[in-house]
Amino acid sequence: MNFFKSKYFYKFSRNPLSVVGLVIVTTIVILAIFAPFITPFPEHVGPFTDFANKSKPPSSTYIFGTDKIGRDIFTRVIFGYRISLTLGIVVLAIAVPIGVTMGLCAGYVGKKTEMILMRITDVFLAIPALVLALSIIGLLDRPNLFYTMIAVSMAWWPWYTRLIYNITRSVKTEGYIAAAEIMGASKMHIMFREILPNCLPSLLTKITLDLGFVILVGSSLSFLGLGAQPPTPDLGTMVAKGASVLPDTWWFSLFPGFAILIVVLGFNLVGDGLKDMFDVDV
Amino acid sequence: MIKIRDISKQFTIKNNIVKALSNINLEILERDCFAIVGESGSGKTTLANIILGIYQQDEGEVLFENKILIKNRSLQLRKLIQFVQQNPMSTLNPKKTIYSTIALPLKIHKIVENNKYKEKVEELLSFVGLESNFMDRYPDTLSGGQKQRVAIARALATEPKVIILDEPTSALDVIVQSKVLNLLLDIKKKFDLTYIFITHDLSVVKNIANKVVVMNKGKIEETGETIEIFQNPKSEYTKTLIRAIPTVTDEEDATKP
Amino acid sequence: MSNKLLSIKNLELSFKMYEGTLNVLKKINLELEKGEKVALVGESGSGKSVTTKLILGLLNQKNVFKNGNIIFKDRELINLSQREFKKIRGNNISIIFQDPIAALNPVFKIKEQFFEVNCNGGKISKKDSFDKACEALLKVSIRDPERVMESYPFQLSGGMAQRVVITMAMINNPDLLLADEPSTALDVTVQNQALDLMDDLTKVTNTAVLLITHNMGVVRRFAEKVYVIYRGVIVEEGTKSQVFKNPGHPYTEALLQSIPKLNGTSIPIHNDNAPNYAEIPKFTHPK
Repeated sequence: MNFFKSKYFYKFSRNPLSVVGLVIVTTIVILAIFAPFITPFPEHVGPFTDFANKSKPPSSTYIFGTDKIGRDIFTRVIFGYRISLTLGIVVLAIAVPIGVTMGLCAGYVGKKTEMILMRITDVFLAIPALVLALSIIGLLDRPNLFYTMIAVSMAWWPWYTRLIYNITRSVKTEGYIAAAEIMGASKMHIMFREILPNCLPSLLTKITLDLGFVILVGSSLSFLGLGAQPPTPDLGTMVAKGASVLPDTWWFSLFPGFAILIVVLGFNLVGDGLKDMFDVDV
Repeated sequence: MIKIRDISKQFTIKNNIVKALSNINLEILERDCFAIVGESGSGKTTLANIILGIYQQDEGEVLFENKILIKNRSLQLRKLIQFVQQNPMSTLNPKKTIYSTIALPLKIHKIVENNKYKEKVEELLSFVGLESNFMDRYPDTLSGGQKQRVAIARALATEPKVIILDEPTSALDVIVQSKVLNLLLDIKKKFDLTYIFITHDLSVVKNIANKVVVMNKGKIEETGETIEIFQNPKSEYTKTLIRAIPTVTDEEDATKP
Repeated sequence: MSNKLLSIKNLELSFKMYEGTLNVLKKINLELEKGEKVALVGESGSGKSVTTKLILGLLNQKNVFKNGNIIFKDRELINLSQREFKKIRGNNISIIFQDPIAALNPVFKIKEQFFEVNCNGGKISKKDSFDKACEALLKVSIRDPERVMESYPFQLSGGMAQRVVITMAMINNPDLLLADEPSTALDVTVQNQALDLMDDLTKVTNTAVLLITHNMGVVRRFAEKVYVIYRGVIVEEGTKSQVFKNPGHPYTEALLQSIPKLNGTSIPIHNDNAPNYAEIPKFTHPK
C-alpha cells in the first residue's frame, strides 16, 4: 500500500496510458486466475463437442460465438490467457537468471571471462528470436508447450546479458564498489549484493515489456502449429485455425487475435510507464 | 609503519606513456597525520591506490609494519588499512541502507558475532555523531556531510590502524568541512590512528598534518615537517603553491613566501 | 536611463514538486553597475546558481514559479519570450560554467564552436570567424592559437579550456558576464590565471561580472562588491573590504571563521548550536 503513496507511483500515474496498461494487465491476470469461476462454459476447455451449436456467431449466450465443434470462444480465450501468461512467466523465469548471471560475470569478473561470455551472447543475439526458437523446437521430437517455453527462453536470455553487462560496466566504476573491494568483499558479494540491486529498475522494466513480447512470439509459434496442443486452448492456435475460414466465420480468429493484441499492448504500456518512472533505458 | 620504497608506475593511454609515479620514497610513522599534497596529475591518488591495492606498482614495494603489501592481499591486511574517498555522492551504494553499508565490513572481517551487528553499527554511528535512526535510511536522504560521516564510520568498522583519506572534505561546504575535519581529528586521537591525508588544499594541511610531501608530476618536490615546509619552502613549486592559495585575511597573506 | 546595469528586486523562485513546494529564492535584491565586479557567495542549496538561470531565462518549466523583477539595461527580463532571450544571450549577457571541458561540445573542434559564437544571430564567414577568434586568443596569451583552434576539447588541459571558454564568452563584448564557479574545477595555480584573465578582459570592455561561488578566497581576490546568500535569502551586502574585515552577519562570520587559515595551527571549532541564519535580518554595510 505504501507503494501507491510513494513518489514512484505518482510519477507513474502522471501518464494516463500507463495507468490504462496497468488496468488491462491486472484485469487479464485476474480473469486468468479465476477463469474456471467466471467463464460461462469452463467444460468447453477440455474434450467437448456440441455440433448442434457449431460455428454460431456472437450472441448473448456465446459472447464471442462458437467454434467449429461448438465450443464457446469467450471461455476458451480466457483460458487461453492462462497459457499465454504461463508461457511468459516460465520463459522469463528461465531466461532472466541465466542472462543476469552471465551479464554480471561478463561485466565484472575479468577480461577473459568478459570476452568468452560476450562472444557467446553475440552469437545468440545475431539470430532472430523466432528463427532460433523454431530451430530448437525442430531439434526436439514433437512440439508441445514445454518445448516451446525452453526454445523461447534460449532466444531471450542474451538480451538480459547485454542489459546487465552494460549496467555492470558503468556501476563498477562507482566509489562504493571500490570501497567494497578494498574492504575485502568477495566477487560474488559485489556482483549480487552491490551491483545487482542497482540493476533492478532496468530489470523490472525490461521484464514487464518482455512479458508482452514473449506472449507475442509464443503466439506466433503456436500459430505455426507449435506450442500447446489441442484440445488445450491457445490463442495463437485459435487464430491459425480460424485463418482459413475468414471472412465467413470471422469470430474464430478475430477475438483470439484481439486478445493477443490487448495483452501485449497492456504490458507494453505498463513497461513504458515503468521506463518513465525509473528513468531508465532498456 | 608504512614504508614506500622506490615506487614507480606508468600508464599507457592511447599510445602515450604517462609516468604517474617515479621513484617515490616515503616513510610514514605511527600516529602521523601525513599529508600528500599535489595538483591534478601529481600522482597523489595513484600512490594512494597503490598503497590500498587498487593498482599494482611497476617497480618498488610498499611495506606495512615490514610486511610487503601486494594487490591481492590477505583479509588481515585489508582490515588494518582503510579508506575514505573523495566523493561522498558515490561512496555509498544508493540501493543499500546505511545499516547494510556499515555492517558489510563487520561481516567480512567477523568483527563481532552475528547477533551483535546492530549494536556495533549503532556504536559506530555514534562515533561520527549520527543517531541510530540513520540506520534504516538510504543515502539519497542524507546530506554530503552526513554521507561522509557514514563513510568514516564504515572505515572505522574494521578497527584499522591506518586510514587513507583522499580529499575527504573537498566536496563539502565550508562550515560542514570544518566540522568533519574536527571529527577526523577527534577520531584519530581516540583510536590512536595514523592518517594519510591526500589533498590539494594547503590551508587544511597546515592545520592538521604534522608531515607533508609535495608532489609534482609524479615526483617528490619536497618533504618534511609541516612547520618547516611552510616557514622555509625550498622548492619553487612549493612556493608557487603556497602563494596561489586563496586566502581570506591579510595576516595570511603576510605569511606567504 | 539609470546607471544600474542589472537590478534584481524582490526576486522569488519556487519549484512545485511531489514532496511539496520548494522555496529556493525568497525575495532577493541585487544590483550591478556597468563594469562592476560583484560576487554572490553562498554554500550549496543557497540558490546562487538558479539566480543565473533566471537572469538568462532558462527556468520555464511548468512547475516553476517566479516573481519579482530582473531589470537589465532598463528592460524587464522576468517574463521575456525565448525569442527575445536568444538575442540577449551570448551578445549582451554571457555565461561561463564550472567545468570548462564539459561546457564545450566534445564532438566539435574549437574553431567550429567559435564559429557558432561569432555568428550568434548574424552572419560571418568561416575565415573571418577563425581570424577573429585567433586574434582574441592571442590577446589572452595563447601563443599558438591555430593549434588550439584545430583541437577538440578533450585535447586541451583544464586551464587552457577555461581560457578558451572565457575568450568565447567575451568575444562579443557582452555587457554582463555571469561566471558560475569558474575556477572551482581548476588546480589552484591555474585558478588565479583564470581569474586574472577575466579581470583583464572585462576591464577593457567595461563588462560587469557577476561571480557565483562558495569560495571566499576567490571572492576576496576578484570582487569589488559582495552579496552573501544563505538558503535563498541575502544576509549581507557590502564592499569586499567591509565584508571581509568587518562581517556584519553571523552567517558571514561563521563562514569566514570555518575556513582553515594559512597562519593557523588547528581547525576552527564550530558552534553546534548555530542559530537559524535566515531568521537574522540582513546586514547592509553603509555605502
